[in-house]
Amino acid sequence: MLVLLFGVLVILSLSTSGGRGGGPVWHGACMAACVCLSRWTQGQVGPACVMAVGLAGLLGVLGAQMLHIPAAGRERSGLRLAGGLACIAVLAQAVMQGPQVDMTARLMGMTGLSAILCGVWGACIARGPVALCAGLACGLDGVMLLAARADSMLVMAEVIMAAIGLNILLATHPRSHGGAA
Amino acid sequence: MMAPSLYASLLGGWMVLALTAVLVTGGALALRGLLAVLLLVLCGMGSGPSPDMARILTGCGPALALCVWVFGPRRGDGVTPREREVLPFFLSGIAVLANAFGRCDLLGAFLGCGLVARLGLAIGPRGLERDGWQALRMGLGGLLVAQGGLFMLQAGWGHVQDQAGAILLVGGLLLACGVPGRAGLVAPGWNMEILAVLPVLAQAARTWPVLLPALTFMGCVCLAWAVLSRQGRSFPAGYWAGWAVLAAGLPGGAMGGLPLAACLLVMACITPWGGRLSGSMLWPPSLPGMAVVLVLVGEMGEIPPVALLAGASLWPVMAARMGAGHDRSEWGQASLLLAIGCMVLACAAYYQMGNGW
Repeated sequence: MLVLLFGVLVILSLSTSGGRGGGPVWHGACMAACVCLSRWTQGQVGPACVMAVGLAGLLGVLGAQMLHIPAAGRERSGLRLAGGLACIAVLAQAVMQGPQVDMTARLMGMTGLSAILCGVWGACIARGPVALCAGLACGLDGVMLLAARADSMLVMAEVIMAAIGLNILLATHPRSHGGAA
Repeated sequence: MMAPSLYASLLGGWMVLALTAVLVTGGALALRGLLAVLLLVLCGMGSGPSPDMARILTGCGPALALCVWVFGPRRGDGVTPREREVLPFFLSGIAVLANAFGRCDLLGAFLGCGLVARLGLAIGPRGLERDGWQALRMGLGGLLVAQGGLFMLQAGWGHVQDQAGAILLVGGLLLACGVPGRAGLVAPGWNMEILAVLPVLAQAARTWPVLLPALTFMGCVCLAWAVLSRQGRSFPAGYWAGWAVLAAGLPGGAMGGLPLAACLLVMACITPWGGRLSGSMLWPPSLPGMAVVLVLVGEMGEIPPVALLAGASLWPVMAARMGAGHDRSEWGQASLLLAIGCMVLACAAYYQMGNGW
């Protein structure tokens, strides 16, 4: 049940924060908690947990970088919220059909997919680099959830590499106030 | 037919050799041409005496695109930085590797390598430039969506869910390849990703047949996008990408993947700055029309006159090319297209004889 609760938490917090520093940290923490809890209930705490926590840490660094970069003018969070909710509605229709055997796995899959779609949707309509990176970080959370569900180490490693790359890109972005360029 | 591991290691060796040689020596035309032809020969040998002719043609696509880029006309002032010269070599090597492995779950890693190379080149003194952010948005977003769709397909929850996953996978991969509208940022090696992705998708459609309608639908979307986009911004590669996606969605009949191979070969041969799009490209008796006819050939493999029609429909393209100008490169491109069309037609005829007798 805790996994379900955290899944709902991730969904609810997906679209609310756009482009500010807190969002990626919150999403990353939710994702790591979700992965670790599901692993713990299965009784196999292994490298997947370590990688999830590592991704959460990387996203935390990303959020800390975003605090130093002023967000772009228009964030259009309303549109993002609407698009995200539409994605979740469509996915809930598609995924939840059929015999309801493993509800937890399906809900985890739906959470991951909606995180990906909301994040990519947010990245598509974002204007500034900060909002773009926040959306993509959201999508990375979703892929990590799905990879933990499917037990695929390759994709987990790719997600970690992508998070490192996002950090590097945002670090090279010039800052208008404070901080070294 | 080489063993796959030997082929992959040879390709890796070629990539290391090419990158080192071009980076160190600066890449004279002879060296770059030698490397490109070497890759072409390697591709031809790697999938050499395999029974499927279309597989060979498809596998040679990235190498052919590299050859066209190396021997094609230089654009602009001709002074490009050395790193930018390397990019098509790297991208084509990755595309051939992805083709050789032919696995959907490795596509993410290969396309990610290409994206990293592009982004690394786009970092300037003031961070990423605007094109770089756009490439990041489309590339990484598309890869994330595709990965999600692939997970959904692998989970195997049911038919409706598989359809949703197939749409997500195909759409995400096309977005990562930049098919709907990369008119603003035509870079060297712009078509390498799509040349690698479509054969792998067509191969994966044997495992998941639900991919076929998704491919057809996305092909129609790409064609509509290319037709409806504004005249000044569209370029012929968009049409060809749409046709290639449509051809990848055909059920594998007697002809194998011959329509897909034809569309991919044409995509490998055209250059995006070949001039503006003329209205005649839209209608059947022209180059996309040839694709339609080839699709018909693939569908109805028992009717030789259709193949003749395909050959005849090549002629207006030649006429348009001749009327367009007296540029040598235009001529070279037109004759290359004609040669490839003849090759595809010869394959079709060969299949006919093989099937008939």
